[in-house]
Amino acid sequence: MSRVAAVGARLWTRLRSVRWLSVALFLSAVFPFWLLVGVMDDGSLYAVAGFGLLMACYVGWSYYVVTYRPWYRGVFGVGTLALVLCGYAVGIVVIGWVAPSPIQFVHLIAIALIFIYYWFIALIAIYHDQVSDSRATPSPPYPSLSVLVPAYNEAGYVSRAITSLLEAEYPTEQIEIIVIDDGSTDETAAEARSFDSDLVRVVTKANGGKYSALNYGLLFAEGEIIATVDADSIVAPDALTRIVAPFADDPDLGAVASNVTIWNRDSLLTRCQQLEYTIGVNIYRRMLDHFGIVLIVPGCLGAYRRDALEGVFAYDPETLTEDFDVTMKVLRSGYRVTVSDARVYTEAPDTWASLYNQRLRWYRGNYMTLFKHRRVLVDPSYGLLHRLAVPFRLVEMFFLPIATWIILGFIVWLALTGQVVQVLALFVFFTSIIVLIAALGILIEGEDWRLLVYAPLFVVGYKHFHDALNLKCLLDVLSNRKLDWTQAQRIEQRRADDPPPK
Amino acid sequence: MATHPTGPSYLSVGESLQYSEYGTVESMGGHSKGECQQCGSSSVTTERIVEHRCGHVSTATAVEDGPCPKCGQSTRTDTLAAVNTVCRCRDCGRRFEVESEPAGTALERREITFPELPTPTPGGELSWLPDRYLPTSDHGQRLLASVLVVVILLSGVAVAISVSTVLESEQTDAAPIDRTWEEYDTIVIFRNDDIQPWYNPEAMRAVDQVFIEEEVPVTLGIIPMVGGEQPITADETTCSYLRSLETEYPGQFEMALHGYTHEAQTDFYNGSEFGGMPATTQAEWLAAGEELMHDCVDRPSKTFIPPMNTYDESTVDVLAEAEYSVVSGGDWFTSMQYNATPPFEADGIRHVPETQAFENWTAAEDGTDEVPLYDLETLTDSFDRSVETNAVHVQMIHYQYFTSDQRLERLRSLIQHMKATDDVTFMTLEQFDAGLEADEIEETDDGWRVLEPIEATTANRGSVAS
Ligand SMILES: [Zn+2]
Ligand SMILES: [Zn+2]
Ligand SMILES: [Zn+2]
Repeated sequence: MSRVAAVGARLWTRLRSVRWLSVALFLSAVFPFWLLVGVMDDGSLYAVAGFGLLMACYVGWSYYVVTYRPWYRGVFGVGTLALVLCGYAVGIVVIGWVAPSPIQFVHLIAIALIFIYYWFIALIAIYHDQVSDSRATPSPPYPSLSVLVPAYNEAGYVSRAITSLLEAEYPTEQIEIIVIDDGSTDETAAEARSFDSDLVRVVTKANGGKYSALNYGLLFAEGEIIATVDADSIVAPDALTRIVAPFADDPDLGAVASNVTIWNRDSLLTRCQQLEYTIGVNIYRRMLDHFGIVLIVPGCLGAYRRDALEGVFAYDPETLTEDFDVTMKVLRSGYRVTVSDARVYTEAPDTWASLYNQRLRWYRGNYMTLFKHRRVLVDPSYGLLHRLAVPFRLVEMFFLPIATWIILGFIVWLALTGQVVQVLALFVFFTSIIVLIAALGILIEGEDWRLLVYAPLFVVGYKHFHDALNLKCLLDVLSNRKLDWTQAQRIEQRRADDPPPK
Repeated sequence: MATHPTGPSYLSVGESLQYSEYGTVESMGGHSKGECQQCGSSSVTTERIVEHRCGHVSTATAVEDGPCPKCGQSTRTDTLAAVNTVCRCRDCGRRFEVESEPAGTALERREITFPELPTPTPGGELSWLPDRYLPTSDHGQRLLASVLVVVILLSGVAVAISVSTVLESEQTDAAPIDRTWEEYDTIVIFRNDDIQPWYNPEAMRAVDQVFIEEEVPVTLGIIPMVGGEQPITADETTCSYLRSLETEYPGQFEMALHGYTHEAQTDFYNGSEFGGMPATTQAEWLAAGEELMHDCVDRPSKTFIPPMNTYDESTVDVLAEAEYSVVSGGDWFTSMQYNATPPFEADGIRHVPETQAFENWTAAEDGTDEVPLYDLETLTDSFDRSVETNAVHVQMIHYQYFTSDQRLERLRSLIQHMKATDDVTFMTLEQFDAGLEADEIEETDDGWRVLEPIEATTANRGSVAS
């Protein structure tokens, strides 16, 4: 009898520790999905259900095989999945579930992806949020930490970054801050030297790009953990202790990402970007975090185990996004990469033109990096990186930008042919899903509830700007493969590192 | 910082010694004066830092002799770029630059201003609310956040429900159509029977294509369980094709029930499926057929086309009971049975029988599947008679016999003849019945008045029924 009581008590504590609000928010998506199912015909419904089942089998098998049975890792891999999906596509046309029209297909795939995104990615994210409570609570002893701050023409910004680092909680005997002046033509170096602190060291070199600044700075670093901080970022007071905390009890952990927050939220554009970060970080990255395969440790703030960083010879010049590239290298060398609650504040581009320039570099860099690491897609020994993270990323970067535009075209066509109600239904569905995802992110992250207002722009507008830009960058990268990337990088690097208007 | 000489692993102190002599740095002057910033030792060496073309940055001594440890390529001098020359303490391993300017004096310390940084709040940020609405306690704020989530949830549910109601009454809410009364000499209704799975699907599509191209509506008579063997739902190709007709050509194709197995079960009028069967059996078949229709197409109509064109009083009772509104049998049969000129209402249902068949069965030779078609003149004469008498002209066809271009062309020619005749309109059986029911079709002394477009009537009625 007392045993029953004990189990009951334990269950009660367990239930009490569940964050019911986010669970309720998550489950409420049943309504929009139910609405969508209502307007879908039976054939499409079976097709989507079958697709979901296939993906569930694939993901479940992937997790099982990578965690428990590595010998079978070559069985039912990405290639097989691709073949099975092609066969499935032909099959559903043959048995008549779906008409063989491209627009039907893109539409269906988009709906299927939203199903998967929500009921798989968001589910894992929510689960992860519930169980990972105590994960990264910082506690002494802290490892020795070297913070690298590469700076190119960051006068007016770099001292703010250094000040925030000096004010951050960390035992002073365990930290050093190394500012690398990458041949600035302004007063960056002098400004960095003006700090009367033994913790801050400034090194200078001729301009060579962010990767070379970081590689050079690494020669001076002495800590076990290497953190990198952008010169225009501001770290939160507890950011450094939080970002090193996960390394303590996980020797396989190679790098830890931070949580990027925008501080200049005074325009529509910057608020949209904040919502983009909130959705991306909280939902998508939390899922990858669960498996230790976070793909990007942002340059604003990230930390690496020194052995992991040096084991891959640090940064490479070939891509425009050295943070994505180096994270891929660390992952490929067998380390896990996770996210922490370390918060870093950054100033977002506040004009469309500067956002365009920033993303031009990011997206081109993303494609370059994926092309560079294409081996991961065919080599099963990369585990979940090969089975989940990179394929998801591929869909995100190659399929989604095209799909969003096709769907917009489809919706416009529906509207023009007078099917206003269907347009309305689709819009309500997509918006409510985005609102729910955003609300989850805001709730988990403690963000500003007002950001929800911008969710509809992620259905039409803001999203299409980014997807068009993605496609442009893909074409750029494909057509410029023979170009000297190092050269391109340097030009872009300078442009991207120009201080934003003050 | 703890003093552990953790230089890059591929670099050793021994190597740097080869490169430069002790004390070289002193001659370079500068702030450090050759002393280690960290331990004060004066045992300081200099190191040349180079970058290989692969991006690898290291001391020159670490790469000069052999292949680059990173990329494995040669490290000839033209592949190495000088980056800097730095100092290194032999005692504690610290690297530092030869500083040319003293710290702190180069620049007045700027006033550093921090922007206002957003801080995360458990449950979401609410500080934008006016102070007087903001609870002071943590508990209160959390409660407010919970209320906010619940409001979002409820509004989501409300929107979902309201949109799905809107969707259900989709056509009703569609932009109001301007409807006008038109006068006609006759109303033409095409009835395409024997729609069934697997059998001559090319002919089925070709016949429908004629109607699509000519923009003429047609009532399809669908057999739900042909031969009693396989339900139509077993062939998803046919069902999804029929559904595609419904969605792509709304209002043009009526999905009507054409018996159950389409087999002659009794000798009633030389063979009937329903006529002569017990009422309970008829009711069972009707219910089973109706269920299959619902699984196969989106919007089955309330029209019944009895196989062999024959039905009895029980059929009519069963149909009326199941709220069917039209039964379409054979002309001679219906006139004889009810002794009235069709169309008419009797025993709770509207009887709209076939006027003219396209196929000439009496001319068919025994033992062949070939069924000859009537020649065009017979068909047009029959139609012309309907125009003269202002009768409703129900033209029956069976898709499976339209297996050649020539036969399809005859159907097209008939339709074109009808369209070329003045004051003729086309509709389905369902639309005809709904129009009469809603007083949007009226019989006049010299023909018919129709509130066009007549599709709008059934569109409304259909959604109310669902
Ligand atoms: Zn090299
Ligand atoms: Zn020393
Ligand atoms: Zn028949």
